[in-house]
Amino acid sequence: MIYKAKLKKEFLKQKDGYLFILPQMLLFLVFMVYPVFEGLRLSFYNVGFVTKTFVGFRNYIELFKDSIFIKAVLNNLQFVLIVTTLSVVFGLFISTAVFDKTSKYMSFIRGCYYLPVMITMVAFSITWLWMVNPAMGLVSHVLNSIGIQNVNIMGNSTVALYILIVVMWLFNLGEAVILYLAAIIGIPQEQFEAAEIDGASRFMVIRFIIIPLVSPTTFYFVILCFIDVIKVFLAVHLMTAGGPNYATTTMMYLCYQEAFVMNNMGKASAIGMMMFVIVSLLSIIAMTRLKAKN
Amino acid sequence: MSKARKILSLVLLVLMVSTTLSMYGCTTNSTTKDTGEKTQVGSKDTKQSQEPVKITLWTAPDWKGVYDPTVAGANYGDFYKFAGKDFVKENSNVTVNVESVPGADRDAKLSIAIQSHTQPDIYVGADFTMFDYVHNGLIVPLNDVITDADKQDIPASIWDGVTANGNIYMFPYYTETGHMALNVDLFKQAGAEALIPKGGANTIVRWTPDEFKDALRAVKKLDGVYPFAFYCGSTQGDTYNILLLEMFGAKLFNKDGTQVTINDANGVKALEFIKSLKDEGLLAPGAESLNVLDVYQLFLNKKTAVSIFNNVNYDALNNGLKAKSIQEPFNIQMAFLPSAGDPMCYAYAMGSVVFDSGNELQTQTAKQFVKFYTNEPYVDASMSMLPLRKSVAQKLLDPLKVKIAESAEFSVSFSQKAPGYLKLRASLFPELQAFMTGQKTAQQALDSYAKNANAILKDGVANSVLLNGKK
Repeated sequence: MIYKAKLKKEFLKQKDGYLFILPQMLLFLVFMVYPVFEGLRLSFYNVGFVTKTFVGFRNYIELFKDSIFIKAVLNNLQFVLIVTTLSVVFGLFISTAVFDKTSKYMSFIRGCYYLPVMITMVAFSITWLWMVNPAMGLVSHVLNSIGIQNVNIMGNSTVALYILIVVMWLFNLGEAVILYLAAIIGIPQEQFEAAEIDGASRFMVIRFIIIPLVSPTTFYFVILCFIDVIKVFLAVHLMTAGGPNYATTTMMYLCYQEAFVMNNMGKASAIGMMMFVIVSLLSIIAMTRLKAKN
Repeated sequence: MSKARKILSLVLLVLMVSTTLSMYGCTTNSTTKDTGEKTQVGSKDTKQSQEPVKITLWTAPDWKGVYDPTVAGANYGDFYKFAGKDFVKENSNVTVNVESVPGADRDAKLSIAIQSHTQPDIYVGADFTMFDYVHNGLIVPLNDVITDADKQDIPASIWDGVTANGNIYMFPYYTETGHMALNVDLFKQAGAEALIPKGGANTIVRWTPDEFKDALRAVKKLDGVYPFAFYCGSTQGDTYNILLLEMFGAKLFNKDGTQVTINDANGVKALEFIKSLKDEGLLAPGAESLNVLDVYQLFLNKKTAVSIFNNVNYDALNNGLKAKSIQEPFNIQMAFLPSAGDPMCYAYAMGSVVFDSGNELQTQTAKQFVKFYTNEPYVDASMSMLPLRKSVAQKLLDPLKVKIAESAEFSVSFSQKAPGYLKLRASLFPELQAFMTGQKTAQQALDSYAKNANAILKDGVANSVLLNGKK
């Protein structure tokens, strides 16, 4: 009773704030939260254009029996782990290389790496697609000119996936550089001065001052990158259409295929739910490990 | 908090809430209006009804402009907008909204629209892409707007292709017909003119798979030119892949369209033949990544000597030569697809289907609009493509275009109105890619496709509203 009264008092005290967020909260509930629950509901149905039949866990059972889905999950895991690791490593490397240079130089570097983020993924993917086109692309032209004929790097199941990973990494790198530079600039200058007086090398400054102090940024970026990369779709759709022979199919692409090509909204919803579970698991693991380190 | 700040906060809050609610209000109003329309069954004669009707038409990007694609500023869908304006003049209560939808986005856009009940009233597209929607009971028959004169003016084979259970589901307007083309100038350059099958400039010649391969071998020596380009990067243009798989007599389906049979000995032979072209260096590299548009572009850029080629490419070539974006000389010899038996090409009807909106007045108005623009005087616009009406086809001046139109008699029915055809085509390409990258043998790839495809067909037959007589 006392607790309830205390809660009511607290609520009334903050009511202006709650009322201010109410419109946005309503929109959030309608357009973000409701679709999640609707997706969960649909995943238990066989949904056609005009029919909907309850099938329980059948969509999930079929997914786990489906070798293409397993392949898509493994591809996604590779995407997430490699792109996130590369982005963190290179983001830190570039930021630590330029953080103590002039502001003009820093802005230039920041702008260069952020450029891919500003152009759309569509334009980015189409440019890459043109470069790696086996018959008319820049890469094949260069290879032909040095005597290497008839090479299709996108036709190789392993290489095609890594090309897509590179594309995604370059697309994400700009964000890492921006975040790390902002975080490094925010480190108190005294720390660097003290290190200088103690005769610390640049490597020691990076290892013992910068990396520990930017760890909240690392934590934030890793989670963000997980969520972003696991949803990789446009690059796959435009560059490989999941091929050759499903070698570059990701969960999001499979979800799209099931929903809008195979018209199997139930199975697509089940894939969506699985993505939600995987992102949550990866995020929890990342959160726990980074917290333990700190 | 001071009183003034509290008042200011309150005013801001009221403003924000009222803005949000007014947005919902707008949505609610329009929804109510739609529901109101749906409950009414209007008169079949739209002229008599004054109730506002909004018709939405989606079209594949077919030709630019109204009658002449070369007019400055011409764009896709202009013809339907033009006809829509005239239709509205006669039916003041009707508004027509036209949207051009790229072929690659068609399935996804329609799927989303159907599931959110925002499908267009009319869709202009290829017959084989529309039959999945017919099987699902989403398309209404057009029997009541098609006259005997229409039936006589359009070939019976075309009507067969758009009819099921005695109902006509599409009003055919024009056709897309696919063959092959040889760049005669490149053959001359290679000193291989003799290997072009005899026929002459304005004819469509026949050749066997062996003659086809010999011709490709003869142009292999040309620097910077690939003899031919095969593709299986995506589903678009699958008609050609299917015809190539049928070159030794295999058939995609059995006679009644209930079983996929392409994995027989002749299908395997065809696939191995394609692989032999790759092994001999007669194909552009990367078939597993190339798509149909890449292949067209290679030919128009004079990078391939032989290519798949349809009437749309023929128009693109002529327009390019006229606009000097394609360099002369560019003489072509049209050919059927290589076949050990009868000559093969594809011809599918492009026409209009009407989606069941659930509103009788709207559906009837959509049907009337389809009838309106598929008849005189608007039907002449189909000359921008390849007209299906005999009365219009006889006005064609280009002798090769006349031959292309006539060759439709050799067209192969590849989809056979099978339920789930759109899913079938999506499952073919990964198998072709697996074969072309050496991950599967021809037999394994086709067996795997047949297994998946037959499961899709079985499911399609079981769920077909059309086949189960529910509609």
